[in-house]
Amino acid sequence: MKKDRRFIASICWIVIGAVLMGVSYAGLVDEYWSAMGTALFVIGVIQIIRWIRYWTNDAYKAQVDVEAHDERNRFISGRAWAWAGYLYVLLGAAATVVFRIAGNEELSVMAGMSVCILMVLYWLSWMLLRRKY
Amino acid sequence: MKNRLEALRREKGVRQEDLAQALNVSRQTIISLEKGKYNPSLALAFRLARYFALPIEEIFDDSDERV
Repeated sequence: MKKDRRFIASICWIVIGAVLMGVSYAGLVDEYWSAMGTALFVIGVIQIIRWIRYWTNDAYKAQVDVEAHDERNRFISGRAWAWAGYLYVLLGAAATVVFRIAGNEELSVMAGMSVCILMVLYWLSWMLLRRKY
Repeated sequence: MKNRLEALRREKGVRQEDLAQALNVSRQTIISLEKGKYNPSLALAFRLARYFALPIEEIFDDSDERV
């Protein structure tokens, strides 16, 4: 059921991508949306190819199912997200200072605010997960 | 955490691929477990104990981590 929904989502990406490319080609929107549409179209096509392989190739299906449910993979994924978060905060904080010294206050504020947003999201996640576990 | 997984697997004459398939994990997970680089979840530890028909204490050694 979940896989069917993902397949339908892939078709939706293709349709949305094609529509965006079409309206951009017709001159109704600018080229930015054409690039966005192309990206969505390509992602959708790649996903469909993967789904077809999944449904027609039993060995590939077994491999994908094990990889998707493998607990070490989930553990690594969680750790990778945690590392990404730590690095983002460190790099964001460094960027805030560097941009400030370089005299680009706008970028400095944006970098600082993005770190603040991440910290707020972390705090909210912590509060929610503390109740769950 | 140390463990006797590799020795137990070899005693049983089972390949890593077969053990991985029996436990519904990837072969890389078995390799990491045997090298002691990854500690299994409680659920996987129980599955391993059932597979080898041994108590968990006879597979995993937590002497380094006791408080």
